[in-house]
Amino acid sequence: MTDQGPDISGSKGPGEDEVDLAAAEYVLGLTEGDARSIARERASADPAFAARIDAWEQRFSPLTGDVGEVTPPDTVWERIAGSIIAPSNVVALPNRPRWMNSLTVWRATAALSTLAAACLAIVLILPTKPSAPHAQQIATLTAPDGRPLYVATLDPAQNAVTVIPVGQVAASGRSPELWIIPAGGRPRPIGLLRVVSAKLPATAAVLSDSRVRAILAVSLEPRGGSTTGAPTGPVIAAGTLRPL
Amino acid sequence: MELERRRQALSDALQRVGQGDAAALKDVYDRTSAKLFGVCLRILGEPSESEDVLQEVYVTVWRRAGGFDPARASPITWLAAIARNRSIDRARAAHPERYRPIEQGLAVADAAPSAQVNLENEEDRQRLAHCLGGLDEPQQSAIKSAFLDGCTYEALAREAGVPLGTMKSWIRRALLKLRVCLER
Repeated sequence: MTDQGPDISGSKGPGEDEVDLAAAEYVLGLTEGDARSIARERASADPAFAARIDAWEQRFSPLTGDVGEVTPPDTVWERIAGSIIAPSNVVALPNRPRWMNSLTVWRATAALSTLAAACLAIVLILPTKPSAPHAQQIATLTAPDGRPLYVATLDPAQNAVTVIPVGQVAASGRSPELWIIPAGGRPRPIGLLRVVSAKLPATAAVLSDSRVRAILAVSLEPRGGSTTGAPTGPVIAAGTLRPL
Repeated sequence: MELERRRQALSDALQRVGQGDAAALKDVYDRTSAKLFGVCLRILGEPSESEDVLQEVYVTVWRRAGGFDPARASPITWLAAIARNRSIDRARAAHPERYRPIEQGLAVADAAPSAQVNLENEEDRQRLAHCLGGLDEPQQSAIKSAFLDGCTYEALAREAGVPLGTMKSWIRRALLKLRVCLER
């Protein structure tokens, strides 16, 4: 594919070799600091350079076979699932007066209902059948960084959802509001949370939503709660309801 | 062929992740997390830091899978590159003074041979081994160490006890030689 010269370095011109070596150095992680970020910026602006990086990645790829496998703890997957439901930029919330694009979050949430089903089947090996109408359910609502913020129990016999705060929430003047999101459905408001535990009424609609793999999520809303009937603020915590 | 079938399954799953299918992300995770965790551990050494990075890796996969092009990269190459880059960035940010991964990481990561995903093409592996074998020993191990352990020129020079400039020119010459050999 290259017309080979007598030189050991191959036929590519010295300028081209420089560029190709910069790509290889990036792939091998040989450079630090500025050189590394310059290579990265160049790759995003220059498809030819990005292709050189891809080529080196492919060349060295078989070395990955030398790396032994280590099964990560289950908590890693749980944190990943938590992150994709509430993208990590919600963590930077205190500096952000308004949530940028809450729609994205709710799209991710919808996708997560599929995920919740997958987790259930693969990780938890819990029954996938709808919960019995009177069975109590529990959810640990975690922040995007994996910290548990609330534990919620849903008791159909009492038509109530009890939410106990277990972590620090920086609400900064706003009201944390609890929502239920049925598999493939839209968020339905349950009620506002307080600093101490809250017992909120579970309506027939909420109970019906909770039958199959529902997600509970908490968003930060203007004082008094969302006035639109849909979440408007960032999601600070979420978790899947499971039979108790 | 078994390898081809598994590679195809992973590639398909990645493409579904690109369309926002979260269940497919779990599939990708089940197929690759042990290998990628090994990659992170080998570079970072420290398990809890490696877990953080592994989480970032799959969140990145979730966001970027739409850009995965099976015509340009094999799925495991694409994934391992994300894991390596994230780990290197973390290692450089957290321990700029460190030049070798701590021993624990090496020991842990090398404990288990590949069982979950051996998605590397055997022919490619042999060709790379042959071409690396054609390099002088210090260059050969320096290149492997850079790729697997995330070592910089500076770290490699310190390790080998040679000046930085010497290590740079060793490796750059070796890389060009390697490229010629691999393209043959």
